[in-house]
Amino acid sequence: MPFSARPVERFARATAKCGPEAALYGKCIVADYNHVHKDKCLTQFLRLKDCYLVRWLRWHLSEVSDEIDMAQSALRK
Amino acid sequence: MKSVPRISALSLTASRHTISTRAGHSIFCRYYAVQAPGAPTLEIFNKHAKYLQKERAASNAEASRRVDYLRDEVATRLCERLLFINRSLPHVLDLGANACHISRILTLSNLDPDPSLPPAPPLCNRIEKLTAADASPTMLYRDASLPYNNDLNIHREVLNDPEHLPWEPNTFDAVLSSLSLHWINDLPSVLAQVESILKPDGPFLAAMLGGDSLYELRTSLQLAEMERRGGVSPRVSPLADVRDVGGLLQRARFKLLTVDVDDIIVDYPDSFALMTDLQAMGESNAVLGREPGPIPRDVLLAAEPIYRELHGNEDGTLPATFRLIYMIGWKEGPGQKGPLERGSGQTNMKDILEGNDKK
Repeated sequence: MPFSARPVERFARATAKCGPEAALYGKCIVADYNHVHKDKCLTQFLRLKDCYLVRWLRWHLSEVSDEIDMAQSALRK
Repeated sequence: MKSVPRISALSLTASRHTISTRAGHSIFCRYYAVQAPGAPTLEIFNKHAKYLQKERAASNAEASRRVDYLRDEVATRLCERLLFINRSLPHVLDLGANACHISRILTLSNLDPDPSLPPAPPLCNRIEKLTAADASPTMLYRDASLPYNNDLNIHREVLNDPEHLPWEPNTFDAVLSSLSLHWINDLPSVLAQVESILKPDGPFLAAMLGGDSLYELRTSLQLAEMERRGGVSPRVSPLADVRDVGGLLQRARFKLLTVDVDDIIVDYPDSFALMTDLQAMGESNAVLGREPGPIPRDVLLAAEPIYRELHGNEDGTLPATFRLIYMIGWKEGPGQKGPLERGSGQTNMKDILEGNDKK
């Protein structure tokens, strides 16, 4: 994924990789959507957010390490 | 004398009589509550925010053209209704033209591909001059250099205020409007102005978003915000209902009303694609009471699985409903056919509907 992509695109792609966690959270809310209150599905949400953050960081780090590699190879020349 | 604070629509007028009490203080003895003249105008949408959103959207012409699918489709359906009005229209107004989608559709031939009919010539043959008006100049002039502009006499006009129409009464033979009336704060006033600028016996044809448009997005954002933050904030505009539109047209003194509803359901890969498309159309949230700044990421992250679970299609796409309300109203004119007088009917409907079966 190019790092120059818009933040919302990066966000969408990172969340798309967290299907199982997202489905669990969605099912938890929809199971009883007439009685939704704050932090009703906190555990499921935190699992989803962890997954998203890991994906996002992994891409971020791979982008950064690619840039470092490029810089190092440029320096060697 | 102290000035009396004005309270929104009610202005309090204090009489000038004051009574001196024994202690020497003067107090007001009487208050009259007086209703301010005219109906109070309700401000729902931030006009300046809408202007900025449209300017921003149109400044990237390529991205803006990519999301023309909805406006082109609605403009086509609106122009199909114009096919039934079989007369020449010397001067037509496109109110809230966006990027002049109606003008482009008017130059296309054979709009209604019905094999039983001969191919129809483009509608613009019947139109001598078309005035396209919008508040956002960048959006209005986005397609000014495209070839279809040579096919009809189009005149673009930038409106300072989309709710005050600058034209003289009895100017236009027809007024069209596609997908822009849903951002008008004072719809009764704008419709009355449209009625005024029409020539007698002139039609007004419009399509606006209404009713349950984007209810999937609205409900999933509400549920996500309830669960994440414990409250909701307006993310999707309040919209007019079909029942309201009939009343509004009647109030603006239009005759021979026709109002109908059409749902366009678009499937998106995810809710972010829907929101980016809405932004690229310049249709982002512009409700006055909205929360400033973007939607928090936690809410976005939570809304996506709720949308998918609650409304998602089996193939993994997410549907978004756009409910279009089409309205046609005619300005009163001499020789116009009106409804017959009550009680003047000679035929019993029951005989026709049940008719031959009874015998």
